[in-house]
Amino acid sequence: MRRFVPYLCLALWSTWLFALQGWWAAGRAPGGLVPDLGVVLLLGIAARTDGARARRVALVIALSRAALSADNPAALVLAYLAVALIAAPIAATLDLDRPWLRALLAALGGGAIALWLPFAADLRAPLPAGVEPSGGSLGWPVALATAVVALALSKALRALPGLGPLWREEGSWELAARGR
Amino acid sequence: MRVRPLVLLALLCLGLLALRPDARLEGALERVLGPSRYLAQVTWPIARLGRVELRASEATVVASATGSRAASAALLERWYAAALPRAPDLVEGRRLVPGEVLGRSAGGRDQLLVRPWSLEGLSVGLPAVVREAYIGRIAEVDTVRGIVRVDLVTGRESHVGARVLALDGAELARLVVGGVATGGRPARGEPVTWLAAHHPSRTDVDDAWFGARVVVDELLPELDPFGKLAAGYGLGAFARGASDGDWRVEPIVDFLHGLSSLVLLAPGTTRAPALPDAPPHPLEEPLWVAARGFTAGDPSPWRASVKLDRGLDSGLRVGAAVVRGARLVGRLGAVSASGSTVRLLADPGLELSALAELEGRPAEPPRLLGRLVALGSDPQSGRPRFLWRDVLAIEHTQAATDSASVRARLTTAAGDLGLPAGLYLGVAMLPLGSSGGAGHVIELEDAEDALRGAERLFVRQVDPRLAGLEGPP
Repeated sequence: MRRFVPYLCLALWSTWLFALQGWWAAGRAPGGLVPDLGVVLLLGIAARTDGARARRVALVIALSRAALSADNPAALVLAYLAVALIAAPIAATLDLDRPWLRALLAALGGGAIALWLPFAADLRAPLPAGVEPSGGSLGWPVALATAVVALALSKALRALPGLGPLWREEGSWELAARGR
Repeated sequence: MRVRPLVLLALLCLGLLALRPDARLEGALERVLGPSRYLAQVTWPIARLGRVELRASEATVVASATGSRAASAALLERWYAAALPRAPDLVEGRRLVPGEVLGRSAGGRDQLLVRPWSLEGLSVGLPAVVREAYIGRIAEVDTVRGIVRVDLVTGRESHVGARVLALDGAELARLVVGGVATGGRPARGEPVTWLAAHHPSRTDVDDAWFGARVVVDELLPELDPFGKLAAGYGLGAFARGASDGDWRVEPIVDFLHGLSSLVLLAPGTTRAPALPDAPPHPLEEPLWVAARGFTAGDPSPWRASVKLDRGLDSGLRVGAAVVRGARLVGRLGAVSASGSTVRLLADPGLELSALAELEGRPAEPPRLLGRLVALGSDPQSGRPRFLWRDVLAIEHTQAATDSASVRARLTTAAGDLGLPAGLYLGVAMLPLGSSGGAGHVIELEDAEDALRGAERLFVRQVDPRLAGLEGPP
């Protein structure tokens, strides 16, 4: 049972973060500058954990977002799982806690998700001929906002109460070796 | 790092599910997501945060709703009246029964579900018309549900005898009209359609024929016992297809998106006293459930949605109208047992049918705009934008030939199950003249944030009599 508590905490925190993101996105964000807080949280945890756990974290984050969004849940799960799958091998060889690397990956992840979701929605229910999906232009603003938030808040987000067991209990020898 | 084949398989399945919707799998996914929806409800304080900026009292909402409801009731009354045929020879000897189109049948696009104002005297085979245009005939009278099914003349099995008339009224030829002839089908979007013409009495077609009027005239009463009632009603204009001998009829109604109300013709002697009472305004029907929105917005910046705390358990279904006062704020997208997602008017891809009342043209009946498709909100103004596919364009008036657009008050039109006619949408400037098939982009001027100050929203339940009738999208 103790194994599930951190995931429950993760679900709770990511739901609140996405609710905040939704509040900001609902007509308040200038120029579509809406950070993907899920990507920021995922990369913060993936920097200090193994691939399998990063995938489980991605799944929880995606389901939390699906609970608040009109986007297709399968498209969301696929998007966050893909970010986790790409981040895990990078985290195994490079230190994802380096600010600029983290910001770069967050920008790529956030921007790709912002492009993928409108694309998937358009394929599921095509808009009339000649109409571009309206989210097509949001890749850059979301990438930029996500990078900035990742620079500032990534470590703070993973340090939210209850999330420690998801990344602190990793094999200390491995982390120590990486640190050397 | 080695990724297990199982993970890759899962990704592949997710990709397929994300791009190719499957109703059963998605229903199952919604059930799996049920607990997370409960978890999401704990974020309601953030939704409150989003609404304290401009809180309107319920009294204000109710007051504005009353005004809007009265205006839309008047509009609906004029709209139903506009669907009635006017020409004396098309009315004589017929009893007119107006009806509201509820949607398409599960049998396909070529069958309408219609709620007539009265079922008295209606039987299978009676013709259905819109103003002076013939659209099909009754296929079934369902006295339990209080509806009739109308087979459109666009159906593969449908046919009706017709005459091609010259400008002076002389008969040029006889033919049979039924089914659809499609033009160049675009890679995306909807095909241009005509009515197919078969078995012409003459093949020596003159160029002067093209554009000639085609009207119903069934010669064989054994094929259509009520053919006399439909005689003289128009089908469209005679047109040539891609090759010689490929004849078509260019319809005068938009069969795909332009059917909102119609008139059923029954045998009778008089017209005026036979008109039954109009149905109540949709807002007066006991089908509305109060619901609370517990999110302030969608985490995806390109979407516009809100989560509600009511779902299937409260009788809600996908496509149901969501109103605040008398104003439509959106339609339900996904619905789970205990919650649902409202796709707001600015959510890209949201579809609805609309009626327009043009300012400065009081003598004109309301216009059926047909299908509007949401394109998201304008980046500068934040107003919802729609693509209006102007199958029937609004023409210039003699008084104002130089103006490019006309101001109009929009309300919903019937034709979609779950979305009744007469719900206020907003005010928009409608471009005049044809777009040439590309469609016009219009913007709702007074719908910047219909949710601000909203404590409660109201969602339309499925009419118990119509449960299970959901047709194709």
